[in-house]
Amino acid sequence: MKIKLLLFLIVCLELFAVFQWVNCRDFVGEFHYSQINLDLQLTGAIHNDREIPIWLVRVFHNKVVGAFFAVFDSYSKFWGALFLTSFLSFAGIVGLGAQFYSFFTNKKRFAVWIAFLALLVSPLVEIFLFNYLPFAVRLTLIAFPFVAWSMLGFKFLLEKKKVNSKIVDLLIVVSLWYLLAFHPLATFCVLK
Amino acid sequence: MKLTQILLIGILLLASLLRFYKLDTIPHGLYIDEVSIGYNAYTILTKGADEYGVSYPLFFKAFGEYKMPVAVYLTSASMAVFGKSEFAVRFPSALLGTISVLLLYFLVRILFKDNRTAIVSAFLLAISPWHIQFSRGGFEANIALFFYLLGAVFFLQYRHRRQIMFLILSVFCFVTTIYTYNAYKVIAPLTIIFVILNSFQHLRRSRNKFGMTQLFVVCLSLLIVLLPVLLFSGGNNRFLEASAFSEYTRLPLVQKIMIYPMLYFKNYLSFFSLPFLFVTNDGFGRHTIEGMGPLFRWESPFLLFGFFALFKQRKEFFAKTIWFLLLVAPMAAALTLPSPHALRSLLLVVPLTILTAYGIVTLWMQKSRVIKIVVLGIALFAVYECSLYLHLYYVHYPSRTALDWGGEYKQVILEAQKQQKQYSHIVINSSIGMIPSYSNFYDPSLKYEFVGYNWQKPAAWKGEKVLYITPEDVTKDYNFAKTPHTHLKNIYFSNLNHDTFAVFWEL
Repeated sequence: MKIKLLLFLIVCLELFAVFQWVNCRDFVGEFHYSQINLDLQLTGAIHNDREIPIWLVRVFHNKVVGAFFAVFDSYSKFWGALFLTSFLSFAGIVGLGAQFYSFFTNKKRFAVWIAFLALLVSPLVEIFLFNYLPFAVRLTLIAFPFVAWSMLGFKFLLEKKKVNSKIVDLLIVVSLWYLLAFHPLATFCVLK
Repeated sequence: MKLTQILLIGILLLASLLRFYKLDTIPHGLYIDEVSIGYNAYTILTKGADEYGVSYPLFFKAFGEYKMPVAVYLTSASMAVFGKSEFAVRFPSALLGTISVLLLYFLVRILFKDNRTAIVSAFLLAISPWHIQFSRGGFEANIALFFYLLGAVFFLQYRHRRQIMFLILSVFCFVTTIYTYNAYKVIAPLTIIFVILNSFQHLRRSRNKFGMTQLFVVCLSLLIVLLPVLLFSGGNNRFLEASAFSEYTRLPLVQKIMIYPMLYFKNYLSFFSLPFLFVTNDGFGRHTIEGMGPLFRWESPFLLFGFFALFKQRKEFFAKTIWFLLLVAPMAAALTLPSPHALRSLLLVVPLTILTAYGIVTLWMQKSRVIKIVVLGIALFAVYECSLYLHLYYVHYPSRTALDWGGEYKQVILEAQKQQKQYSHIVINSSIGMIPSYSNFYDPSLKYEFVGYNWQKPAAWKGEKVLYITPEDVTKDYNFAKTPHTHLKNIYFSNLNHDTFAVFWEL
């Protein structure tokens, strides 16, 4: 019973964190892949390469590698600790980590594989489709896999008795405290 | 010669090449702290006193704060060999940075009892952008890191051999870090507590009374060695300036209690952000290669895997040590702003490098061929990214961060020195900035007057030739309205726009 109550509290906490994002219009540009930005970056980089053989310039500054780096950079923003504390709460990060640990160390069920893939793919929706889907839809598409994965992590922690439930209580308090004291939304999203 | 030894020599050669090649010219000129350290080192060497005439001080006054002594005295020794030059100022950091690679090898070998992880760790530190960046400048943090690693190696030797000498050396090295870089005032005491508690536990288990007495003597002598730094409060000004809490000091106590812990927590977390580690770094030109983080992107999967692999072994001593390092490394830096800060958290490079190496070795040891192919694929990408890093460092970095380093100040001083004989007065506009420190270093004999932005040639100097050095934006119509003037030359930034740094006028 206590486990269910704790899981319920954590869901509420994570949804509370996500709910703050209704004050936003969109994610900031760093989360998005932009062809124009890439072109500008490459142009800037190429102009720096004076007296360097052209083939070498092409090796280091080309669209293929540039696009890969740009997507990697945007993708990594979704895994920043500060972003996640703002998006899911600190407890949410612990849940994410626990579920990754469980995923890589235990036998994997098909449903968990699906959740894992959804988690990995969901940031790509924001990175590439930000021009095509409304913000609310994109936010839901990202929030759902993250919250679900985090809940699976807490389920793993609490059911396996890996963690004393008092620590989870403390986590909830700290997370709520953090969200109330700081919620640096403006760093990650364009406010309404 | 064994393969390990050959590999280690190769890694050390690579590390020294990456740290010493074009050390005097890239980064572009000495920055202000290097100049301050360099000048104090020079006066210590030649006069036995700092720039204010204090004989062999323990703390060096500079820009309203006090610098720790180790970097200055080491630079003094370097200047005794190489003379007063950029190379001499950077040499201690570059040399100790290279030796740190060797120390990391020993640390990991003793800690993990595994040669492969040790070799891979040493290799990763040798090519680490984070470590190279701070080894190639006269950064006190990098010198402190060397002493920290040395202390850790001695401590592990003590655990292994149980000779009290190693414990004393270990504690001595940790204390030296406190006298090298301010961040270690937080990190080193925590480490020393970790070391002493660990030793105490062992001695209690083995009921070694003689060892206990020795440990007590170590603690007592430690207190004596630390007394000067504990009693000296002059170094706190800089901390108060950079403190993360300074903007909240006027809040009521209740709000402070609410906000301070979470502010610290927020700063602390920022050091474990993937964007900081792999993409943006902290954004300071002196710390950051544009478009790269302090770690390579290719390291990210190995780091994450190493993290999980180590978590599985969390009860082992080596895992506890790495967790301790991860926990403690950003503790001091999180007290200050901006956060994250790559320099103040330089110690973090050690556990992250070890974790990455552990991840690589553990993955490679898996039986799956697919995993081996993936690792090899990433290795190919790693070669590419390392080459890209070198290209960005040697071709892009000098011009993109010209503003952050002080190459142009040197040009101004040398040009003024060249023209000194032709003029009755040299006047330098204070808007140019930190000229006095640079002139102290490059030419203490240069006689000039440092004047305000709106300076006008005094009537008493009528008929005398004046060399006036200004920034670009001095408005000719206003400043020279009543004074005949001739434009002599410009000193340009080495950036792509060739922005003007200083203009030489004859009045």
